Amino acid sequence: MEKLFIAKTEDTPEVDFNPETAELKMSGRSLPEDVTTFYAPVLAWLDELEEGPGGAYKFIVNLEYFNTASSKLILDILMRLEDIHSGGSSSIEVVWNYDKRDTDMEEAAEEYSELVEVPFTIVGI
Amino acid sequence: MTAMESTLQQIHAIMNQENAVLVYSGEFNQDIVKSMLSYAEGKLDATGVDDLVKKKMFNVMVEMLQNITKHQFTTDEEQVVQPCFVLIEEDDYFCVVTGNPIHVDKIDIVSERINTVNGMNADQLKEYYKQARLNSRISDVGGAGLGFIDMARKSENRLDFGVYDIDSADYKYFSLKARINKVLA
Repeated sequence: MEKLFIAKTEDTPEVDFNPETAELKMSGRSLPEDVTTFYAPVLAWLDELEEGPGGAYKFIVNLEYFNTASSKLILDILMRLEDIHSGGSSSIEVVWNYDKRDTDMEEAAEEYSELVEVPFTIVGI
Repeated sequence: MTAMESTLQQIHAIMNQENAVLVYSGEFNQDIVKSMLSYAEGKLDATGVDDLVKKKMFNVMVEMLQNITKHQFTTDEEQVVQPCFVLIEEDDYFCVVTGNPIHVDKIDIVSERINTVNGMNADQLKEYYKQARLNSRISDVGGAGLGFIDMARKSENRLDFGVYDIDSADYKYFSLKARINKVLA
């Protein structure tokens, strides 16, 4: 599998999915004009991962901000990861880092963790 | 009255009555949204307000501005009245105000959505958001249908709205105001 790297912009996050280190990272802000187009390659990459050789992957989130449309797509990503995890060939662990003063982000992470059945760690930094 | 005069009159009235920090009227697109966010962030930095308040402001501004970007276009041949965005500083609150033409057929549904979130407490909003997101589909214009719920949650205040007559048979002017406490509870 190839690495997926999307550089960060003012309104889109950095995406750094590296099959060699087994770390799938997202950081920055997400408020693109068109969420469907922006997240299409991310979801497509996860489809490949599901078909891939298997491994223990870590999805590491360092998002400062995301809008409501992105929030829906992040849920889609987490649900895709849950499918992969429950499929059994790969295991997924989510590590969600947030600024510990940002109670809104902490709550958002908690809400996601309640919705998907994958090991989910929320870390206030 | 021409569209220009009408818009200017509204802006003038707002600037006189309120302590407006930023006023924009015109077409909305993603570049303009980014510029306004960046300008507003600068203004908020200068007030020395808490980072969390800034974050909440940013949050509410994005939803309100992107709502206009996605829903601003009218089928009228000429835009009767332009959308606008105003940032106001009051004694205890920062207020984000937007205005845009709304088709008369959409007024009931929009009013109902806002009234619904205004009738909910924080726990109810949280649950409502969770359910709505699970059922949401990204629309043709790229929205998730979660904006009002999120604005109500993040602002921690009721959303004020009003509908005003403009010189059009099919459209009225819809204004929306969110308030964010300068000092969080």
